[in-house]
Amino acid sequence: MSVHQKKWNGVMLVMPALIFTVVCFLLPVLALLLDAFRVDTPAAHWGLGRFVDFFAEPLNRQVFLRTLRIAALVTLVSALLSYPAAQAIVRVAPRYRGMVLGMMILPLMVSPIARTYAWIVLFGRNGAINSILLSLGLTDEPQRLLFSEMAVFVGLLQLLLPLMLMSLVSSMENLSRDITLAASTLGANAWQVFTRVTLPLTQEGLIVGGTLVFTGCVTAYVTPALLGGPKVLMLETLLYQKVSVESDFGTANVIAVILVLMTLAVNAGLKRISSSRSTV
Amino acid sequence: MSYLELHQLALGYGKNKTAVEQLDLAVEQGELISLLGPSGCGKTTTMRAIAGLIDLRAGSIMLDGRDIGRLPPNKRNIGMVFQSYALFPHLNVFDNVAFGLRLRKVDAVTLRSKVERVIAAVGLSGFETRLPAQMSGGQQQRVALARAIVIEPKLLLLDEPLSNLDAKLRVQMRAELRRIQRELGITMLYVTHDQEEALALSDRIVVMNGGKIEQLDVPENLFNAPRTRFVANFMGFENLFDYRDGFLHGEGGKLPFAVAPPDGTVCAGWRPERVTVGAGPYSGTVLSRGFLGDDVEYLLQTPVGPVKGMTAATAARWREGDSVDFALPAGEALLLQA
Amino acid sequence: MKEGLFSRAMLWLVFLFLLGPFVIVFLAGFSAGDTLAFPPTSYSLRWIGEVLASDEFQRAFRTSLEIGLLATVIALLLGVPVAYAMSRMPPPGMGVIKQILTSPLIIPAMLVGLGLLRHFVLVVDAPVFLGLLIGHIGLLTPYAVRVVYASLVNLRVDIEEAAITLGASRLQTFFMIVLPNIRSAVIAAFFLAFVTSFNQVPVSLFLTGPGISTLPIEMLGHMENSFDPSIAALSTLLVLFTMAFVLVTEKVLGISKYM
Repeated sequence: MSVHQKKWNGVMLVMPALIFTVVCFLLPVLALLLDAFRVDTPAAHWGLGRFVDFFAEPLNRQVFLRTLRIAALVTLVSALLSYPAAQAIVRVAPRYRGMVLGMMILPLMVSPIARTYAWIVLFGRNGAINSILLSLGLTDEPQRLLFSEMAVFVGLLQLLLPLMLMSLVSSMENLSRDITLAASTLGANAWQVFTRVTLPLTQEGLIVGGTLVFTGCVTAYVTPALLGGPKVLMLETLLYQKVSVESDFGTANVIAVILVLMTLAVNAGLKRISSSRSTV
Repeated sequence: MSYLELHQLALGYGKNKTAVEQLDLAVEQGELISLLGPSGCGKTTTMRAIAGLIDLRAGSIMLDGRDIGRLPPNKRNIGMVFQSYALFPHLNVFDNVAFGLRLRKVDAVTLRSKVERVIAAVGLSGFETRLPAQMSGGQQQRVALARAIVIEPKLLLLDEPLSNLDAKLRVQMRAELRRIQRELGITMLYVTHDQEEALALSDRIVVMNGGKIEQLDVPENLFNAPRTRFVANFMGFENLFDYRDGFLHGEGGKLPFAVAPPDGTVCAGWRPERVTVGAGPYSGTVLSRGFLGDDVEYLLQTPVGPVKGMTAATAARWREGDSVDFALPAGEALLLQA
Repeated sequence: MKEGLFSRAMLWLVFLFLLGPFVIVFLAGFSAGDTLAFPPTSYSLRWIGEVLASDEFQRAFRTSLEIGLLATVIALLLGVPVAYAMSRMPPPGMGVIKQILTSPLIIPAMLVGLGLLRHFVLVVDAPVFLGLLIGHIGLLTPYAVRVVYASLVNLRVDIEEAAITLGASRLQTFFMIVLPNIRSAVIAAFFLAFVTSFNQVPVSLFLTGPGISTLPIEMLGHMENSFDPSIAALSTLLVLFTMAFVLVTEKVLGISKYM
């Protein structure tokens, strides 16, 4: 078991997975991304021409901004809802903790189609909300609730909330109850305890959760497709449309690059924030 | 030719760190030899190198006439008992012990009888179906021992096997280990940082420091006549002073030493039990007083620094801050040339 | 404590929000009507029956099952050695390797599907099933690595050393000592990967073809054309299936600690 042998063995064990990932994953995706930078000008073969064209179209700009907007909103609201809920979970007796966590994880294990479907049922013309509104006499005819930004927002919130919740729970579990008690004996009220103690100490969880939720929104397909339809496009549904309906691979590649850049930026940016602020 | 021979062994970690240099050691068959020393002295590194878990930088290891330096650890037939016991958590006692035999494809009948015999030898008959998690530290340790013994290894290595046990159990297990070793005649290499343990168990002791051997000797000699300052300190000579030109030197001060020691003496030392407290040519202040039952231990502030002495409890009337006379009897001095 | 009450209330609200929709889908699936009315005017097992009898759904279910099982097994075969190497003998450049191997989690799945389609399947004229399988394997491997790695770092190395001194080779040590002790992690990884594959949509979107479709894709296609409760019925069945799966494994193995 010499040191050299060990290192060599390590390489061997990692090789199959590595080769597979590079050949079947990275290379095809890289090829896709590179395509977006090809331009057909006499001056050069590479350029940002496609990107310029993409953002020149008002529809595309709208889709881009909408995606950012909804993602930011979902992230914010999920954080607001998750903090108190996570605190309650952490205080639950250990006996029930497993069950509660299981219930949190369950939605993640179910197909996004099934989870989104409920909103179709609720928001549809014959759906529950409309039935209630009609029977209460608040409107004369069924409202168009589906295929709206609000529907997409609600759907995505429901889809991604468990991620933020689990992230905060695991971060809060490490926060000893004594610390918050100590703060209140020193005179802090509930809000101050939250902002000055809980928030800074759980920021790691908030950042991880935020990353997961934000990227989840940006890269979501099923929910925007079902709840937004062709009227309320997000980047991924736009991409799908470009490929399967319009066969416009050029634009599709541009969107692909934008998606990758966004996810990388969010991942890197939040990692930077977390490490620079880790001098708690 | 000895049973186990280490020639000019050099061992290290990473690129530059050297743990052991130019180590020579010869162990006879049936001996229980201890590697004794403080943390970082290289004793565990040496043991792991013999087991094959660490590469040799230089030198050779011969076991029963064979050069085993290039053999992978699973071919050396050297049993090892780990400090943390390292029992297989998913196997019960019987299967843990039988592991090595099963690898050697021993037939079922022989296997059963050997395993049961060794389990009885360590006093754990009836525990065969227990899992490690269901046993105490002492019991786990005995399983680890049984597991290593049953394969009838040429050499048994024990890496501080008793350090996780409480004091009473440690003394008990020590005796057990010795008994089993004698009965089976196994050659054992024992690593410890506890000098009392080494003294009680070993045929010979190797005192190590900084990757080198300070002294290799039988326990009596190490105890009564340590040859270097380090070994003396390790063996309990807590009062060690430089000697020069008729004076004892320490911590910026000096005391006259009446008797002229042999030429070349550079150090003189006393065990606390041999320091006379209450009468003598020197004077000191009591820094602290510790009650030990029959005796009282005194730490005195003196011109040559702190001196530790002992006196019978019945005569120990001095308290902290008191001035008291003391003597360092020439007859009880350990005189060192190095 | 007032603060406690607020948190508790929020927790219930969140639960309602997260799990309520399942109840809705459940009820809608038992509706007797032709269209998606909620609340249903009458209940029946009609749509459940139709869904179970449907040829397309059966075929799609089988495909999803096959892909799921194959992809999971291969992902484990690729991933477990990586987890072992990472925890016991990291090769040089481990940091970069880790980045590469986790990249499938960062790259939007749809791009993977598209990339594989255009630069692999079409290039080498690969069978549809293979493209789909490869897409799923790539997606699942990081999960396998992560879950098994978490278990391996908690397994002491000295028991492997003990096995070796007793005569076991590295391979024997892995199968006789390491594997039995990470068993529950491997099983958890299996379930996690399988469920992820089964529910996966974006990767499969571009990689399905005539005759070969996964269940979610089939469901999506169906929804484009009809608004009947059949999808609700199917969703209900799937949810029940997943629920049973998750609850059983949580009880038996405690998966939540690996997430």
